[in-house]
Amino acid sequence: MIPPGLSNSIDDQAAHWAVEAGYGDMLPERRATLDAWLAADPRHRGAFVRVRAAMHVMEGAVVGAPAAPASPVAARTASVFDSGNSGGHAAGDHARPRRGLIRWGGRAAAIGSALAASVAVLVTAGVPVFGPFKLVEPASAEEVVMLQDGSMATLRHHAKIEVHLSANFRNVILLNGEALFRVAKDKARPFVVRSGEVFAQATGTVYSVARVGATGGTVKVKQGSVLVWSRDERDQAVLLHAGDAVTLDLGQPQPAASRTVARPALPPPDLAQISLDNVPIKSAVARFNRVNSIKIVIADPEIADTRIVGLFGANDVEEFAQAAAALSGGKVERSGRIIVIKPK
Amino acid sequence: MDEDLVSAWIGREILPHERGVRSWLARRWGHVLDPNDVIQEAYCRIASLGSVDHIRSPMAYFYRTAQTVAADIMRRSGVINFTSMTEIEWLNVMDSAPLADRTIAAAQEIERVNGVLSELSDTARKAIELRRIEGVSQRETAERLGVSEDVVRNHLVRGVQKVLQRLAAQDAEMSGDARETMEQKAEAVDTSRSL
Repeated sequence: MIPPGLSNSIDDQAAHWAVEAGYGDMLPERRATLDAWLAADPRHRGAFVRVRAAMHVMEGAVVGAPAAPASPVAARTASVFDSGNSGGHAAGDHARPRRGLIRWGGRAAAIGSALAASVAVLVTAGVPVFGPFKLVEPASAEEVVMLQDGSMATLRHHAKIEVHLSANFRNVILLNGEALFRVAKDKARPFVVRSGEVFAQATGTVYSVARVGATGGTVKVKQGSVLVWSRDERDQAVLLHAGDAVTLDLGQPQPAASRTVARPALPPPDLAQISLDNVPIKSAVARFNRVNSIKIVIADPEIADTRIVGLFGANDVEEFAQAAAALSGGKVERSGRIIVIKPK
Repeated sequence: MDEDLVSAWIGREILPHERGVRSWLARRWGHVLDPNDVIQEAYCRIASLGSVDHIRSPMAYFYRTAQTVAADIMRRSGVINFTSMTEIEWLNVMDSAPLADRTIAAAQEIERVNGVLSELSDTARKAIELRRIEGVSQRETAERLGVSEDVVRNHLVRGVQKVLQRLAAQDAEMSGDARETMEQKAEAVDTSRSL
């Protein structure tokens, strides 16, 4: 890859690219090179985003409108998406899966996406599609497809999957039916299957996911272990081991085990964090109480409504209670397995 | 979310805190990771947000994102000795949030725009006007300004780099005191924990 400037620091490269994308007359090949550069490393995307933000301020100052310039020049927009799932800790906002696609407007779209490291291909059971997949002819109701990362997916009951692979994550969306995944080991890229609002993550293992209703899913683990959660509640994920199965459906706050009782075990320590982005203390307390045997009680409505920001270990109840009390001007009293936050 | 809106929001709400985040990262984890890597990846994640409406304190959000990225990088590289951010530090980020979460007064805004303009060469300024107001190509811009396309590009690159430096340093000017207090408190916490 040829950096557009002489310098080789990422920030400098990003500045050159952003100027070229914003002001140059880029040919499709050049745009594809930029796509590839952006896809190569999240730091590239980040540096690019940073420069574009500064360019925005700069242009606003020159043109006299700090708002978005309504320029008719189309050859400059880039939407950069990143995988939220690569950020393991970031529950809440970051846990929502996003497509790792880099899209370019206009003429360069086809070439850009073909060359970019991120690929998105719709694989449909029974319908052969073009794509970087080895497709088996639909001999029976079952079909095996090989994903680009070496993982295998066995599609059943007219399963339809959408695959998004990039440098730091592997996302599969199960649109309907059931699929068994034999996941190629790759610790740097978590493999996450989404069925409706249910997510199942593994690095190297064998498990199946089936759609349940409009938003749910059943996850069965054959080998290894899989982390399962719903919506953005990754911090409350359930860790399933070989032989376990769990069915999650919308509206059910607690996982209802279908075959064996799913252990409501906490995820590994490095994942078990609760991140609070400006939420009322009462909802934060509800989240802690759901996963801990030590319960927090708030004795004052004003404290309950105080908003808090922070990142806590999911089992650091005491620490959280202290922080919440300090923030809201209250104090903490502990008796047995109950922690009371009350006014001073 | 519309990309121009994201750029505008990041330029307005995030960039001004970069210096604070950078020095905080360097002080805390500088011996195990490169703050630059963390900052760049943090921007990447912030840009991927579907919406920023829920973020009341962009500064606190920036710190938290950077902290999460740092944790991920250390986990990826196998650094085990990872101290997670203490609640006291978070409270201090909250404390100084109103300072930085500013609603820029009109006078300050004018000053800021003038500051940005002072960083730009005439060539850069004219190139921006030609492109953004008249929508002319780079080649025509170069012809009209009587220089080569490379010269136009270099002026723009240098301009945006200078603007970046200026924006990223704002935090230091505006909330230096608050940050210092936070640093002292954070260090006090660190000390008490290691005992």
